[in-house]
Amino acid sequence: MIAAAVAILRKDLKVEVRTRESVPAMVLFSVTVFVLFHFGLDRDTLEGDIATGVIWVTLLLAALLGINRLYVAERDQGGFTGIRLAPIDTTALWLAKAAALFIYLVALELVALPAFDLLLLGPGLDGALPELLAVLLLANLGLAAVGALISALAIETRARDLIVPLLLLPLLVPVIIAAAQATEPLLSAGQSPDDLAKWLGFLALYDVVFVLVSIAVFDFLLDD
Amino acid sequence: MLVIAEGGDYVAAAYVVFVTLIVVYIAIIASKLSRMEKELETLNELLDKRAK
Amino acid sequence: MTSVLFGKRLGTLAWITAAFMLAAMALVFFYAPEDADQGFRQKIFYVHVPMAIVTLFGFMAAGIFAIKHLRSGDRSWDVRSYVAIHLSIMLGVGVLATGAIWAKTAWGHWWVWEEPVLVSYLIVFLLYCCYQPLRFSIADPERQSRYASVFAITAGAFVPLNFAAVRLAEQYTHPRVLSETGGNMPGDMRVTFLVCIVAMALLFTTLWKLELTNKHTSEQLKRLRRRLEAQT
Repeated sequence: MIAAAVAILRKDLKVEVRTRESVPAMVLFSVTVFVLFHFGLDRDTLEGDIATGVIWVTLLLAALLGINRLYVAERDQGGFTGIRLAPIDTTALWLAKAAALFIYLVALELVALPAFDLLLLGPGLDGALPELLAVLLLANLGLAAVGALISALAIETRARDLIVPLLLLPLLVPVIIAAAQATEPLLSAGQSPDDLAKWLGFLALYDVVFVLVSIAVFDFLLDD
Repeated sequence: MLVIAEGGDYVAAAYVVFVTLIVVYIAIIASKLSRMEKELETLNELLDKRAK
Repeated sequence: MTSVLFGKRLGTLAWITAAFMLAAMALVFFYAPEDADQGFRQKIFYVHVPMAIVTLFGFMAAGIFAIKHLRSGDRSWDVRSYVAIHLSIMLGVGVLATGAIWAKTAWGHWWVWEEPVLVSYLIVFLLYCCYQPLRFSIADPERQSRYASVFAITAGAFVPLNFAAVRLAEQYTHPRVLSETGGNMPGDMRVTFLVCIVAMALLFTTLWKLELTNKHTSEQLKRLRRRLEAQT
């Protein structure tokens, strides 16, 4: 199954690199949202809890853009039938899509975080970088797993782009809670992360639960 | 023994909400039931007509 | 579809439920002592909390029914799951309404973010509100049940995680009301609470069975009609 997932993943990444659809849109969206927040909040620099809120909500909304388009190619070009007929475990599709989404998110954050630092963030990111990376890693995992699952769930329904945010955003609330609580001390001047371990632990738990749920349940989405 | 103290009307409101929900639900089920009864009647008549 | 009699013992269940509800109300108004700080309005809790607990278990039970559905392919499990969620949402509106009423009496606002359980509940409620739109946007009935079950399982796993997250994030200055009425409750309050929870659980089960029976019977009627019409 891993081999099949890797094959699908490589195909997706090749398509993305050539068409450059998802990731640049996500990045552009994030930077635009930062500008919007600058005007909306009427502030030049942010720190602490407001900075945390802005960065996480922006990342989440940008992720939605990528998630919405995750299975579009499969749907329009009969990829689902191909996967069903091939002698592979259908979960390989979920694995490939989740991995692709994870990579897109990492690419997004590589640009969006420095942009955030430049445009809006008061205290610099340098002091707390390793902790921040840990939070991002675990949060991305959760986002990728649940995003790949819900995107597949919504792809066959009629109001596809509406269903995805409506379903996904409540499901991701625990991720936001944990990520924001963990990040907030990192973005404030001179504060040390006290219960970082607690939140990282929670994020890890969330990731494990939803990876397991997705693996258990994904096959049923493709049965026909 | 029944004390309606301060805040009593809020408590009453809460119980009213609760009871109303239940009653509305039962009313919906009841109307579905009566529709089913009518359907059953028509089906029976259909059968009777054929039996003749 | 296998033949299932949902209405078995529904009558007995209904009578037992009625008895428990009467007992619960009697206890609430005549037996339970008045709360030291909150006074009479604490009595709202005897409706609000049991409803919340029962609906949350309803959501999780729906997840379990959905698992059974996917594993057996038997559609009657999907119907049980659907009705459980549908009923929990309806009572969920009651939870939020009674929660707002209580918030108004306690803090003067109709909504407060300080009560973490209420906030978690709102999130769960919003999630499950998407269940019916999702179901009815899928035309093919077999696919509809499958996708609905996938949703029910995912959302059912989500409920405990969500409550854990919100509770962990608590740095609120207000003491959680559930702790002051939960942890150190005097004995007679505790008994009243237990009876109320049992009564609410019984009510939920009765209404659930009632709706299941209703749905099943109307399905049977439709089949009967179709067979009769086919013969003419």
